[in-house]
Amino acid sequence: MSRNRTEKLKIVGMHCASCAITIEKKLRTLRGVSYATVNFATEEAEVKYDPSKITLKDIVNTIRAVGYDVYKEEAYITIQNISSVDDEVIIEGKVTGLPGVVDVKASHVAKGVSVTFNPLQISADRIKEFIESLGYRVISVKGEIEVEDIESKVLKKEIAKLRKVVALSLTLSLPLVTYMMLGSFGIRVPFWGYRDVIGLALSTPVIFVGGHRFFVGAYKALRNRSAGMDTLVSLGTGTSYVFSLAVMAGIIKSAETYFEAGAVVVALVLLGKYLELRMKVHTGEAVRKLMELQAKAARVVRDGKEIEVPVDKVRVRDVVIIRSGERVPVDGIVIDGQGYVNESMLTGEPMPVLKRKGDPVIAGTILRSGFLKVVATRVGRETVLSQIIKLVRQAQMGKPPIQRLVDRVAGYFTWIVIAVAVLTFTYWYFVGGVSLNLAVLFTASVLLVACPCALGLATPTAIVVGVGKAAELGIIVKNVDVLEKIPRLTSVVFDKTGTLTKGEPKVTDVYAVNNYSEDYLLRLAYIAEKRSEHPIAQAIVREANELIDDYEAEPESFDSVPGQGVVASVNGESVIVGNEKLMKAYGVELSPVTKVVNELRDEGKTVVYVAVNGVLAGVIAVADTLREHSTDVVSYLKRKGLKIIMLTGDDNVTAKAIARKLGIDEVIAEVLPEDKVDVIKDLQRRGESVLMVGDGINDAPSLTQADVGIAMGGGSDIAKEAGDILLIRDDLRGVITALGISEAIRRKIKFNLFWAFLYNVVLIPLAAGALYPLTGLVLRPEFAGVAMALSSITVTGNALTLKRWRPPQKP
Amino acid sequence: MARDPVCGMEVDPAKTPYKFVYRGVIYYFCSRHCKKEFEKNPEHYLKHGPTGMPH
Repeated sequence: MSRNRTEKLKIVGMHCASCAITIEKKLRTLRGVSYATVNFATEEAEVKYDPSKITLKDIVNTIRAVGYDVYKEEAYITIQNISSVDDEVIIEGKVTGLPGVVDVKASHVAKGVSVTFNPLQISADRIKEFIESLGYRVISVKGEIEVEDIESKVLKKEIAKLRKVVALSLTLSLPLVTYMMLGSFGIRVPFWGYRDVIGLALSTPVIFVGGHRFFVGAYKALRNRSAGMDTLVSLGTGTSYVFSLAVMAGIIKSAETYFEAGAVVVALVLLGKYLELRMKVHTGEAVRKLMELQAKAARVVRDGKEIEVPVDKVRVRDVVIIRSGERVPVDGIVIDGQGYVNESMLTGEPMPVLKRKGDPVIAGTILRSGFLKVVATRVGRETVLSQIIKLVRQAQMGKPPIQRLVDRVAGYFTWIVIAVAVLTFTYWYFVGGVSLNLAVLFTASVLLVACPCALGLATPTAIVVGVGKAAELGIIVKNVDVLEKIPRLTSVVFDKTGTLTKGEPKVTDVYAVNNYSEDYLLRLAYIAEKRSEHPIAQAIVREANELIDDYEAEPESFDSVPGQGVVASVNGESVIVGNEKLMKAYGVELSPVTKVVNELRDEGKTVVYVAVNGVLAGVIAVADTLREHSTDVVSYLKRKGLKIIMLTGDDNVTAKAIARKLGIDEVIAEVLPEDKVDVIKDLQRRGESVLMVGDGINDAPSLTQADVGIAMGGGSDIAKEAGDILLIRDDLRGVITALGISEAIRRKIKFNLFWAFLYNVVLIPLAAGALYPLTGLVLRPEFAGVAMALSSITVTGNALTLKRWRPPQKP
Repeated sequence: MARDPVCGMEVDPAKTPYKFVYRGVIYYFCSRHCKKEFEKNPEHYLKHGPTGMPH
């Protein structure tokens, strides 16, 4: 029987028919794909595959690996009753199986599921319906993660509800326990003869009202053929309750009832859950702080009048008025007025910056003094602030590979505990020869002490807190998978321009030959380069601006060769401005300047040749200043034992001169932009694990290829930037901070997991009565419940300590 | 429009980032593959014309 599935995909980034063939060929080599066709005209691919052999995600990744992308949409679904890892596993497992679903990330900490899907195959509504059919209550479906703070509202509602249940359970069970304890110590308490009835009366509401959520959870899990902590609590409390009922009814003879145990466990586990949720509210604080930066209202000019509108009603091109002390509500450009704006949220720089006509302002920054009229350029979800929030929230939902492993273990864990409980009872009752009472007690304790929760909480809490902390420091950890790769890194590749240097080169020397004047040379270069966006071209344009009188002069034709230079025709003359390779391709004789060029390069300057009608007219030297702290950062990473490599399109001599200043030993020079990715691949082939630091847009392919990619920020469209980690602030020391916080998060996760495992490994045997024969030690179910609640609280509390993390003081 | 000297496809010189200068002439390519292929042996393609996909 064929279980094949056919999927239609929209391919992005094809610019010729050969691309289509490349993708097609690659897809056909995949195991599990029986048929693939890619149509260049419609930009669609049709793939027939066996979902038991290959996932849609693998197919999409394959297409991405050959350099294209698949059009996908994302839905963020907030769910009320997603309360544990078990729910995550159920939802992720089931939703992944739907046709058209590329990726699913569920998080009970964030109370939601983010689904990446192929809109040609399935819709967000259909996914929502499916999740509801699994027994979950969907609160909202959004196209993207909202800037609104739904999850903390959901959490607060749940806390309020829980508070009432905890109060009820404690009021009923604590007096009951006290009464039973006093009575069994031989102290005379009233109505002792009716203790069974009192126990039944007080514990029943606790078990059924207080414990309601556990039974519902256990039932839901069972329906999806899984089991979790709800199952264990239900079984544990249920066992003691039913046992006591049976004793009371006379079915089981010569035994004592203990209604109080089940009741107090329910009360204590609920109390633990309540405290844990209250802590959870704090884990999401970082994102909430970011959200608070967003102004709620804005004053805009409409029909000549100034009116106040909610910020989501501001449209692009609206004129927004900002007074002293107010927050900038949208991204925009100043058109009138001036003032000092505090941009510390973006730049980390506490000193306010002067903004005047033509300067950009960013939503969330504060106008400290002055008055600004701003034309809105990005509003709503497009603002830099919204993009940052979105990225941080997505990252917080992420699961590093280790947690996926732990989740799998946790899936079996509950069944193992149930098996241990059954064995415990069998052993003690039939072999150990203890009373039925004690055997049941051991069994209930095993069920109650086991804590799959701590395993499930260990990673997500550390990630939510750690990723939030990183965001406060201006670092966005987009992909938490890299946490585990960072300690294995062996080398760091820095792109030179814009990363180690400021990326704002200046003309330092002009040297004319063959009877050309220096001014004429610069002027020709100006006209030829004015349409180029390359930083060197812009340096020449800036320099020439001062001696040019006809700004309007345009080249008659213009073409740029990436990584080499430009070819233009100016006033009927053919002008070539570029590097040695370009000159050689045009057969230009370079010998008149050999000596000058070597001197300039030794000083770390980049040399640009200018040729007119095939004859050399001279050279222009350009130099870029080093970024602040670049030497410190390089030496810090070197001390950490990492190999530092500088990557640049510059010629070898210039590159080496700059590297010498920075203390970098290895240089890979004269690399074309398109070949950078090959350099990374080469290093990886030689067994290096590579961290690439570069520009999020221009170096996107190499950042993606590297084991870990860090994108230097400063860009305004950060959502489009590649890289696993994004530095929002324009400061190279962010690399050190990013590595530091990632390491801190990873250590916290490890510690938490270690603790959670250790706890179970030690306490489960204890609860089973392992020490009873030797010491007579019995872990009563009440204490088992307390221990379990404490272990979840410890894990959450431990994660919260990440908030206090500080970057290394001296890099 | 220019013609990719390797695969023979039409390429928009203003759009493609894949260019190679050989003996004073700029050639435009549809992809990195074609460009790399040309770099290996430009004379071959200039003499024999496009030979189809290099993949």
